[in-house]
Parts: sequence; structure tokens; C-alpha cells
Amino acid sequence: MPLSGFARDVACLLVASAIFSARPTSAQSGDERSCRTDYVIAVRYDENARTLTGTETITWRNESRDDVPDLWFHLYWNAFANDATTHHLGTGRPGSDFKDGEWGWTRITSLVVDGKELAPSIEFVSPDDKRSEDRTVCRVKLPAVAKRGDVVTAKLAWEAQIPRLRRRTGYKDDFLLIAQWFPKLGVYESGNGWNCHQFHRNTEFFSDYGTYDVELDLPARYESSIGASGVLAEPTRAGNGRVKARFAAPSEKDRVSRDRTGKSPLVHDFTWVGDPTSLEYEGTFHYDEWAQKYRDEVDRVALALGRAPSEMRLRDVRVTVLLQPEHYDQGQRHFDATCTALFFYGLWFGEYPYEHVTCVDPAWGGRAAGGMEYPTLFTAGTRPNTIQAMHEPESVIVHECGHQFWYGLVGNNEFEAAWLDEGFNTFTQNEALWLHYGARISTTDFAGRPFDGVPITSGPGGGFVGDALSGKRWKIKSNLTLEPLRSSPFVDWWRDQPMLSYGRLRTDPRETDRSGYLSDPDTDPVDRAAFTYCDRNSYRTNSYRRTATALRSLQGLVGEDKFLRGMRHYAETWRYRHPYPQDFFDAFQEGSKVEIAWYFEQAFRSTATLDWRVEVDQKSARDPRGLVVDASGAWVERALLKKPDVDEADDDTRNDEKDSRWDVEIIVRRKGALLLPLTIELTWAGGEKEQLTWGRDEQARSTWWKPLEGRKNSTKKLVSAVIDPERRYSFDTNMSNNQWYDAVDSITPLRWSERVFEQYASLMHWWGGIGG
Amino acid sequence: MVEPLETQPTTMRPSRFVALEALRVAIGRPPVWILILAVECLLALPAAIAYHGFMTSATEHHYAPGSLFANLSENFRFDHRVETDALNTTIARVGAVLALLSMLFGCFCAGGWLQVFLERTRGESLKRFFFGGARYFWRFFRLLVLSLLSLALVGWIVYGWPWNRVVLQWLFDVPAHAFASLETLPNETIALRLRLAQSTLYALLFGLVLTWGDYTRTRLALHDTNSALWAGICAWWTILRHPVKTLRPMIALFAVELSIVLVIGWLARSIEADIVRSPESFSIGLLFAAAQFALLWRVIVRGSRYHAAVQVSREVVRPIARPDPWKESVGGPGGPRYPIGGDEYSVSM
Repeated sequence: MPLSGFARDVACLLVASAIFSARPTSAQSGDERSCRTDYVIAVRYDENARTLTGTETITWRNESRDDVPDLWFHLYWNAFANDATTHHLGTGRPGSDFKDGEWGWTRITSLVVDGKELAPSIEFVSPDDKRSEDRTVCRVKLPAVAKRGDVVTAKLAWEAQIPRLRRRTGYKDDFLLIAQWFPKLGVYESGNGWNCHQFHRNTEFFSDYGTYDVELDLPARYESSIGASGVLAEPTRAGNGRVKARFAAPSEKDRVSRDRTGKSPLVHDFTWVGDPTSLEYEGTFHYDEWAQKYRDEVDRVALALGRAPSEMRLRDVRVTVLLQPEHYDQGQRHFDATCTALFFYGLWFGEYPYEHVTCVDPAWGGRAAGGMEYPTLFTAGTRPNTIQAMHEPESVIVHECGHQFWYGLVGNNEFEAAWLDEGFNTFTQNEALWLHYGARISTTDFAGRPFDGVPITSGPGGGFVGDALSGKRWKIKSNLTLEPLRSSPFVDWWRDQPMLSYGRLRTDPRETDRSGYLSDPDTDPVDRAAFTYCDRNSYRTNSYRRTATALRSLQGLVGEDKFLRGMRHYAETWRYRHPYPQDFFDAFQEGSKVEIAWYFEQAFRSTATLDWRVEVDQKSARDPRGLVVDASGAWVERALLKKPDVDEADDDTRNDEKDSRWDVEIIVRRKGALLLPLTIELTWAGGEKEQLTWGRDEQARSTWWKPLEGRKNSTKKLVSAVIDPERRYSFDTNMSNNQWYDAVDSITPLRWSERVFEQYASLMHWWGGIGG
Repeated sequence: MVEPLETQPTTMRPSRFVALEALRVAIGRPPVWILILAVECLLALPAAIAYHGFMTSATEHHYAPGSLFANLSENFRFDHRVETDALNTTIARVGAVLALLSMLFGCFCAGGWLQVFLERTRGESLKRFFFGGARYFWRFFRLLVLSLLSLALVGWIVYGWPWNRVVLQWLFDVPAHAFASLETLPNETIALRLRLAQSTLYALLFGLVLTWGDYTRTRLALHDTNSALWAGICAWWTILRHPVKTLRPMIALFAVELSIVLVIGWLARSIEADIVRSPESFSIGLLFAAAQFALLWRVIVRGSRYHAAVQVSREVVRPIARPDPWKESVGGPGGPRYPIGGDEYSVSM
């Protein structure tokens, strides 16, 4: 009986997978926390049905201490199978509505281990919430228990419906971003069993390191526009309207190499992208070019790590950017941002060990594909008409490429400790952005074109009455609203006259971590599973910004060099492994040789916050009035020696007198439970500076501190008192009260109110023009 | 007693360079444009004073002098976000009242300018300005309401149901759920062009409505009639009949206004950039002067539009047909005239 088309395809794929699976897996011992898993996959894409049909051979080596009776798999796409899944109903904002034909799912049709078909015994489990509608995790009992050192080979056949792009996977027209697309083994941890969580809204992924050999079978028009983890293992083969492309991740060459830590590169996922309309921009990252440009930074890092600058050298990396045609002019910027991450992250935390990296610019309407990381491939997202100083798309590229290090090389559990990659990456991203791109400009868009400047205050309107009076919106009835003076780009531009009335604002990207953290500073501690944060805002704040803030403060606390040593030690120790928070705390202290367990407890495992403030009361000292004892021992009435109506304000005017003395009282107050050693810098008239420290123990005893207690009377006037003068800690919830200056700034208010004046003068003129 | 306005023959052909002539005449009325500029600045003052007060209290003793001159840092903006949010809300609400006052002042100014241009006497511009402003105020207020309704209609056409159904759904096959994002379009270029076309169309129609308003006001003043609605309908008809004559000077004036604003704007941007690079208080004065000069220029151009509208209207608007009460009358040259057949006087012929 002749084979049907489908059966023939499956047969071909099985043959291909058998060929791949015959290859020996390269040996690299893991630790008892996780095991080595290698995948050989062959998949065919049917563009009419939007389905994938695949076969897969999983080779799993039990490197745990346990006897393992079963295998657990992730079937991530089943999160998109219905609207009652854990992912869809998860905490945070409601999921976007699905439409017919946009669902996605994965179904295992065959699972063979040791020659036995186990598919009928597959059991779906919901370890996190017991939700039966959620089928993102399944398990199957092995025919025989896998003992330590045993290798289990599972052969699977599966089919999957590709969802409309959501949560960084799916299709939009011809554009395909195929991520988390195959049945994927969980991570077996000694003593804990399978770590295989359901797919939640606030979580990403976790899987073993290994190798991936993947053959893609696609319609021919995708031939020159396929991007994937790893590299093409052989030239693509075209025929019968199809094209076959075989990828290896890491590349065959990388697999047999050793990086500077002495380990062979591995990856823990495989993703591919197809987009017939995209254009390719190629370049190569050369370390020498960057090292020459940032010689001081290289020297600083080398010195801090106790290595020679030549030892800091990083490998060359081929960079491919797949761009939408309308963004092709930004190819160089994508490349430059990718190199920024490869250079600074590599310099600080160890080199990127793979020969290739791919940056994908998602198609129009594929916003859900943007800003996501996979091994050796990441997605960004841009738009026409951006300027580099906006850091758009630079910031997202540096961030996502930075995940090659935090997540790619140091493979933390993104379900349980997402902050170990997101927060670390946010911190590093903003350090790199600041060094390479400087401050970010604030812009206002007019007809899709950014203008360098923003209105300093709000224009007329707001609220029912405000909008009505200004003619912006008249709400006549619930279903009838008139908008005489609605917003529209060109009219807005003419109304606002931005060239004449806007102000330019610049933002140090590092400061955005603090403001992000303070949007929700104390709902949850950082260290908790991503899907157990109170809500999405708490997840984002803690996983990204608060962690970055805590790391920046840690850097301030221990000093830049020790910080670098600690982080580098952690990154190298846990390369290609699965660290948990305590592993980071231990490795950091070991590398930096600083005992700061208290800091980790407070900063990462509590919701403690902090607000220091300094208050200064300074007035001209005067002789006491009333009855005083003079040199002869007699009581003298001093009031007669001084005009009684001289008040303190008048006294202050005597500050230039040589013989003047000053009563200075400084109070530093602390709110919040976070305790950090604090420095206050006092500057006296004449430029003399003095630094005093308020230790943690003293802070624990009292919420206030008078640094000048006992030496109130000074012959010099205090010019300024600044707490944490080097801005080491960015935890402070309000920095506006962290400094006191004797001099009053009168010109700054004038400078910014002038902008407001021009803004409103322009607006009033425009509104006048509506009247006549 | 209202003095007659229309004393020039309506058949007089305007200068070929209507816009330049209008600019010349408007520039020659300094008391008027200085007054308008002063009032507009006065309306802008509350926002500036409120912001100055906030900045003074926020920075007093708390920041190193000059440290926030070039830039309001992220930390400053964040630490004062509660105060600035409240301040911005207050300024916006007060601004809404000021915007309403500006529109009313605009009605007043339109009457003032028209009185200045239509009355042939020389000198005493301000007196005529105030007189005209008061004389036409309520008529122009009614026209303001009409203008706003027209703009609402334009907005509905370009951003509402007609655009969504005809352009997006019918021509580009965009489903309703993607009207805002346009994400179902094949590529971003089409989406950008569509939005650009939409914005351009709205801006053109917006400008057309304002120009129509200018011609309607001029017509109301020329004919000294009361119905803003009827004058508006007639003004549309005039514009449709003589699109080149009516729109060309307005476009020319807009081009002149735009050019000067761009040049001064470029200068202001350079000064602003200098402030970022090297903060100096002198720069604030320069920035202020540049912006004020641009505003002054725009006030003058606004006046010029009315002069241009008067010139064009005199050519294309037919004088209103009113019965001449003195047609059947007798009397010597320079002396009193008496109606023939009136009730009170009978003259033997």
C-alpha cells in the first residue's frame, strides 16, 4: 500500500532523526543538580494548516544521585490551547483574547523508550495549581528505573498547531518565530525530583544543557531567510517546493572547543525563525576594535581580576541581523548594540563562547515576538525613524543579547528565580548602555518622528470639565462624544511649537532601575518564584528593577573591584549550570572575599526599604543674653550689650565676618528597616571637607544621628551636608532630602519655568486662533 | 452710532501680492499686536508662576546650585513625581479655563483686527481695535461654536467611522479589532503611510476650517449681518467658487509664518543645546527672547490673515443688496435730502 503524504513525511523524519541519534553525545559532566540532555529533532512545517509535524530523539543522562522512575515533559504550546489554562488565567493583566484559528497546541503521538510505546500512558499533571485544563506538563513512567549514570533514549513523534504570535512564539502572516515548540524534558534535580513547572504568565523557561541537532523542512521561499540557534550544519537542500536546513547548536566546532573556564559550550534550548521578507545584515564582532576604544575599562577589569589585559581577550563572533526591509537602515545600529553586549558582558563576566549570534527584528504586527532571548538567537524590535540617543532599539538589543550570558551561559531556573537572569541582566545592560551610549534623550513623537524634547508640564484639559472647557472632548451622551480639538500629529506639532517651547531631558539609564524599583518597593521580596509574586507589577519590579538596584548598591557597598571579582566568580563557577539564589550569594562572597550574608538577606529576601534624610539648622552663634558670669566672676546682664531686636535672620548676614561663629546642628534620620553603613560629607566654608560614618549597628539602635553632636559651635560656616555623596546606594526611596546646601539656587527655577511659560504662551496663541 | 465700514468700492482689485501687502499693513499696527502678545503672555503666566513656585520649593537648599540647570535628572523627576503630578493636573485644569479665555480673546481680536482694517481712518488703532472687538464679539462667539462643531465633524470623518469603514476596512481589509494597531497590514510602511495620510488630511481640513472661519468673520463684518450660520454657508460657497483666490494668500501667509518659526525654532534649539552643554543664565534670556519673537511674529501673521481676507472678500464677495432709503429723494448738492412721497414731507414737483 502506498504511503500517504503525511506518513511519508513522518517516515523521512524518523529516518533523519535516527541518523542524528546515532551520533555519540559529547561527554561533559554536569553536577547532581541537573543532567545532560541532547536533542535530535526533525520537523516539517505545513503552511496551509499552520502545523508542525516532528520527530525527536532525546538522550538524557541521569547525573543525579537518585533512581528516576519517570520522565516529565513541557508542552508549552498547550498554554495556548484554550482560555482556561494557567498561562491564560494567571496573575496580572487578563490575557489577550484568542480568535478562531489562533489557538496553539502540541500533541505527542508516539513516545518510545527501550522499544516500548509509552504514548498511551502519558499523564498530564499540574504540579503548581492542579488545573485540569492546563496541559503544559506531562509525565510518563519509564519501563525501567533510570539509575545514576544511565542514559535514557526517548523517541517521540508529535504534531503541533502554531498559535498566532503570542508570548514570543507563533506566526504572523509569513513570519514564524518558533520557540518552545517541541516536547521538552524538565530538569531532574537530586532529591527534589523533576523540576517541571506549568507555563505561567510571569514565567519563562528552564531546561538542561546539551546539544541540539535540528532539521527544518520548510516551503522553498524560506530558503534564504531562516535563522536559528547555533549554525547551519550543512548547506540547505531545496527540491519539490521545499527546503531543508540542518542546524547544530552549539556548532560542531564549538562543541569540541573549550572556553576560558575549560568547559565545552552547551546550550539549553533551540529556537528558529523564518521570514521570507527579512533582509540580512552581517558583521563580525572583533574584540580588538572594542578593546582599543575602551582601553581604560579593559585595564580596570584586568586589574580588578588580577589578570593581564591580554587574558581578557574575547573570541570573534559572527553577528547576523535579520531585519524587516523598512528597518534595514538600522542594520549597523543593531550590529553595534549586539557588539556592545558581547564586549562589555564578555569583559566583565566571561566570553561569549559560540561562533555565531543572530538578532531577529520581528515582522510588523509581530510585536509579541519582540524582546526575547534564546541560546545564540534573540529577538529585538524597532520602528522606523528612531535616533540612537533614544536607545531604541539599542536598549532592548543589549538586554536580549545580554541574556546570552545571564540565562544562556548561567542557566538559572527562570520559573523559581527569574531575577537571577532578568535582574542581573537589567543591571549589566544599563551599565553597558551608559558606557557606550551615554544618557538617553526624552522624545515626543509627531507623525512617527521623534522630537528631542518634551513639554515640561501638561497642556490644558483633563477630566470632564477640563476637556470640555478646552474644546478637546464634549461628552454629550454615553455613546456620543464630540472631539473638536482632538489630537493629531501635525496639528499637535503646530499647537505645541516644540522647537520653541519644549525642554530637553536626559536620563542616565542606571537611574531608571531605581525609579522602576520604587514603583512597587515593598510588595514582595525579590527572592521568590516568579509565578508567586503578588501581581505582574510586583514580578516585573522585583525580577528586573529591584534586583538591579540591589546589585548596584552591592557594588557601592563592597567597591567596584570586589564586586567585579564576586560576579565574575559566580558567572564562571555556574557556567552551563543551574544556580539558585543561595549559590549566587555563596559564590559572590567566595569570589569577592567579603562576608555580606546580611546584605543578601535584607536586599533580596526581605521587603525592607530605606529613606535617609538630612536636616541642617545653621545660625550665627551669639553671646548668651541675660545674666552671665564674667571673667571676674561677677554676674553681668548681657542683654544690654546687644540690641534685643536683632533676630536670627539678621545674624545670618554676618557670615562673612572673620570672627563669626556658627551654631550648626545636623540630624540624619532613617526610615525603613534596611540598614546600610552611611557616609555623610560636610563641606565647610573655605572648601574643607569632612566625612563621617553612621554604622549599621548604630543605625540598628537609633533611627536618627547627630553627626556634630558635642561640637556644635563652629568657626566656619557649613556650605553643604550630603549623605552618601558618591551615590553608592540607590535603594533610598527619596533622594531629594539626602543633601543640604546653604546656598539657594534661584536661577534653576527660572530656567524651567521659562519653558513652561513659552509652552503656555504657544498654547494660548493656538487656542486664540480657534476663536479667531 | 456705528460708523459705516464699507466705504471702498468692492470691485477694487487687490494687490497681486495680497499676503505681502497684508503683512505690511499688519506690521504697521504695533499697538495692536503688542497688546495681543501681552494678553497671551498674561494668560501663560499662571502656569509659569505655579511651576516657578514648585521648582523654588523643590530645589531650595536641597540641590547643589546649578546642578539641575541643564537637566532635570531621572532621580529628581522621580523623587518629585507626586508633587509634579499634582502640579501638572492643576496647571492643566487651570489651563483649560485659560484656553477657553484664549478662544474668547481670539473672538475679540478677530473683531478688533477687522475693524482696524475695514475702517479707513488712520491712527487710533487701539481704539478701533477695542471697538471692533466689542462690536463683533457675540457674532464671532457664535461662529466659534460653529467652528468647533465643524472641527468635530472633521475629526469624526478622519478618525471615526468614515475613515475606519471606507479606508481601513473597505480599501485595506483591516478588521475592526486592528483599527488602532493596524497590525494586520502586511508591513509597517503601509501602516505608516496610512497614518501619515490620515494626519495630513486632518491637518489640511483643520486649516481649511480655520480659513473658512476667517472668511466668515470677514463676511460678517463686511456685510454687518448677524447670522453666523448663513455667513458661514456663504463663505463656504465663496471658497468653493474661488478656491485659488481665497486660499492662495492664506497658504502664502502660513508658509511665511512657518518659515520664520522654523528659523527661530532652529535658533532656539541651538540655544537650548548650549544650555545642556554649558549652563549659563544668560542663555535663558536668549531663549526667552527667541521664543517671544516667534510668538510676536505669529500674532502679526494672524492679523495679516484678516487683512488678506478683507482684500480678497472685497473682490469676490458681492455687496449685500439692501434697499436704498434715499433712492427716491430730492435735495441740493451738499444739503439735506428729502424723500419723495414720505409721510412727513411733501415736496411740490
